[in-house]
Amino acid sequence: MPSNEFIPELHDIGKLVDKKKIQSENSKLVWDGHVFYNFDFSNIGISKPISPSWWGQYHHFKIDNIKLPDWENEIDPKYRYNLFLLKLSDHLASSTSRATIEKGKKEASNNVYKLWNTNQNIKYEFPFNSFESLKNLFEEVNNCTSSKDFLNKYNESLKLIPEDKSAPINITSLSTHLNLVGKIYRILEKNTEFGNDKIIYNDIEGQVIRDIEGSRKTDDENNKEKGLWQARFLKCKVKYNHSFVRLQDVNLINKRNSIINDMLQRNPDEILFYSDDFLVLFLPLGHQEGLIFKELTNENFFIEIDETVADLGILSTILDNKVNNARQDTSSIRYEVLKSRDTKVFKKYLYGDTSHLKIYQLCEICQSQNAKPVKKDNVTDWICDKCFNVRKMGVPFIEYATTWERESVDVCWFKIEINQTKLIEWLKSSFTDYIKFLDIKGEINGRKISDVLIDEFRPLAVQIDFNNEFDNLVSELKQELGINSDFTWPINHYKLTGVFKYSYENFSNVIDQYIKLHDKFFPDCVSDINSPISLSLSIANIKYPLREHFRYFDSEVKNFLNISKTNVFDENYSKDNIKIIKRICENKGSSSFLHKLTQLSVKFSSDIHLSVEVFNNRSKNQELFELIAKGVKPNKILNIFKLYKEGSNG
Amino acid sequence: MDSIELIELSLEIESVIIGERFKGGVFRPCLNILPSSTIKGALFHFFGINSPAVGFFIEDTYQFDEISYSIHDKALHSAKMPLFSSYLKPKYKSTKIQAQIYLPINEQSKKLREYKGESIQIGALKSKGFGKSKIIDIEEINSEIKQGNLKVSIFEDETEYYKINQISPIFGFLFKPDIFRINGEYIRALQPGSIVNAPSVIIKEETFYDEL
Repeated sequence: MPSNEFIPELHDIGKLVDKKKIQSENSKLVWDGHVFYNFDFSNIGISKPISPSWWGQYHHFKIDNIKLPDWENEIDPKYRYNLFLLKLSDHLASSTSRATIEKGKKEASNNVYKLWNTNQNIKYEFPFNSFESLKNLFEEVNNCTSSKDFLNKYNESLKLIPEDKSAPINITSLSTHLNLVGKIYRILEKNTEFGNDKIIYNDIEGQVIRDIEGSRKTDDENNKEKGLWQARFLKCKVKYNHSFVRLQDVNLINKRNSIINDMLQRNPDEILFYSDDFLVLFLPLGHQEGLIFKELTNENFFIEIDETVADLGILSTILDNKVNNARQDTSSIRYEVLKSRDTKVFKKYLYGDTSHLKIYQLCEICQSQNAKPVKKDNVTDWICDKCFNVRKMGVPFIEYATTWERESVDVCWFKIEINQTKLIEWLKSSFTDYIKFLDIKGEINGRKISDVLIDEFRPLAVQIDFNNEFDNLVSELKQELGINSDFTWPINHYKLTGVFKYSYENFSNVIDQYIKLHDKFFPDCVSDINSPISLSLSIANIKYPLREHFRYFDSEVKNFLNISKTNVFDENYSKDNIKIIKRICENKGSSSFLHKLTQLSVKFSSDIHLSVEVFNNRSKNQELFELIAKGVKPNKILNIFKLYKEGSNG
Repeated sequence: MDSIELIELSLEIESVIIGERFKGGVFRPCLNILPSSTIKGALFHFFGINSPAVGFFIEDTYQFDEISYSIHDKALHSAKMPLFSSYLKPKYKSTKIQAQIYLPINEQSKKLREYKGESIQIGALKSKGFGKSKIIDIEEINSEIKQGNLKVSIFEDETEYYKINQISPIFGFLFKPDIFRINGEYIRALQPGSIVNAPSVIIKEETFYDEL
């Protein structure tokens, strides 16, 4: 039974076809690229699909500069509205401008070119790889009634197939691209009306895609052509001021995750992407984002929002950086272009209304509500109702507060996370390197195509793929470490933060597993102070305040690996350095020299003396000398050695 | 360009505890910001000056450390269970923590000129020697009003004295004593990170956001 639904995600279903194989079996089966609008259905003995989704096959038609009523006659007028919105969505979801890409693309391979794992080459089968399967493809187009069903059914293939086989837009998975197209499409559909051959959004009528988007560039005088429609990207960070006093307070993270999951159910399209405490929203003008976040702000979270309002032709999740940079030089062309196109960037903080509050006792935990006394173990905590409800969620890991506390063990809290700001910076620089590697020739409007491609890079889709890969790393890390009963993840369903009974063996195992999995999933991703991924380890006696562990996790400056041993040291390490340092420290041959250096460090507390000692003994300790020569401070090495020695002395 | 005249105090501090309330009965965390309420309280206590005041510790001049101490139980002639407190100490040997304080120019704040070289104490555990500070410099400065993220915390009702205009505020609460300085209440205050138009000396970095 043909579907009545227009499923935008089906527009690229042709990319799931092994065209080479099918055409080698039957050369009569021809079609244009990955779309079937000119396919001869008599060659396979079926009729052309008649569902609304069929018209998604026309999404590459050159109709951007043509009024909707004047489009080619073969495009059914009943579905021109859907196709119109699909094209707008496809442009917004793409990793770079489609127009420039046509001039600059190069043939590549069938795989997604992952900027963080460039040599990955996974062999896969296309879901539609035979004459018979083509019939199934058209049945899918005709009968599919649900985006979700389609994406789930072909999930494994969609993750492996690139958005486009041509470089440089082969850097995103088709799965992520289709998800974005679908969400943006449905937001536009909810907020537009169609009538009299015109589409109305925010009281503004439009008939031509190009007029609605405006120019797609911002870098020269010719790009001042303003679009008719504007929309908003919001990059949102969910934050809290809470101090965790008792273990139950950590349930706050559980609460946050649960509320965000509810938000996703209620706003599945508005929320383009989320990861832990970070969300990206696509909203039309006039939509109150406060309503989306109301439950979070009611529970004393606050939301930091970076919002960009811009013409659809130039809207991207990094446009705010371009705007802020341009505004530092008001004589620049880009500044003029962005200003003339009424581009705006806002920084907003959303939180519950506190203007009416009279506070005589401030809650110790959230510092933003009136508190009541709560007595426990002869200690009175002053906490508000909301924080008390968080405590009532129970002790997340009872052994911590009972058995471990009785044993007075040393513990190590750990947190693995992505810094989305560093990720964007790295993706931009990595994409630039990729473009240079491709050596794309040619110019467009007097500028090198390669420069234009770099300038027009939209990292959202790649950012999502990176985060998905990171989820895989975290899951595997939990699997590897979870075998050991000393490890636990006290926050329900939350794999990013855990705790273990400290021993050098456990500590070393966490680092080794982290490095091994980072090498597996992100071998080409930067792994120093610019690393988007970081692991932080905070070691202390179990009686040490929980708050201080979490305050350490909130530090702004993070390296690939960050280690704090309370009142002893606080160091950070790149991947290369920690690999070498561990090797040196765990090597029995270096032990006596490192022991000597440790004694010298107590005597001289000066890096210079230690460096000179290493220099004088460089022939026997070459690797150590090379590290010091690179600028690694001796105490960075000795701190790891001391942990190792304490561990081996039992 | 709009600007404002302010009095700038430069402080050198040996070590300090800007404490939050005790957590779990045994641990007092320390902040690395100078709340407006702390500075105002100290200036009133030592010099009788009642004026809005904001300030911050200069980055890279301090680091966190901890001490443990216990309260003496006079009845039992013994020490009670030890308490721990986080505190700030100089980052490098033979240096001191640096802080800057800013006051609007008014009849009260002008009296500060007499107190260059004087010592005050701020924060908690003064009896244990924490908080000893010296005013090493006082001068009048002119500061341009710019958009940026605030480096200080300030009572919401005192922002006008600094020509602060809120663009995207982050609110918290600071303690304001009553006129008898026995009790008081928590009043809404702008926190560091708020996006404002303000004197550039109390802004971390200039920003270029549109205003709602």
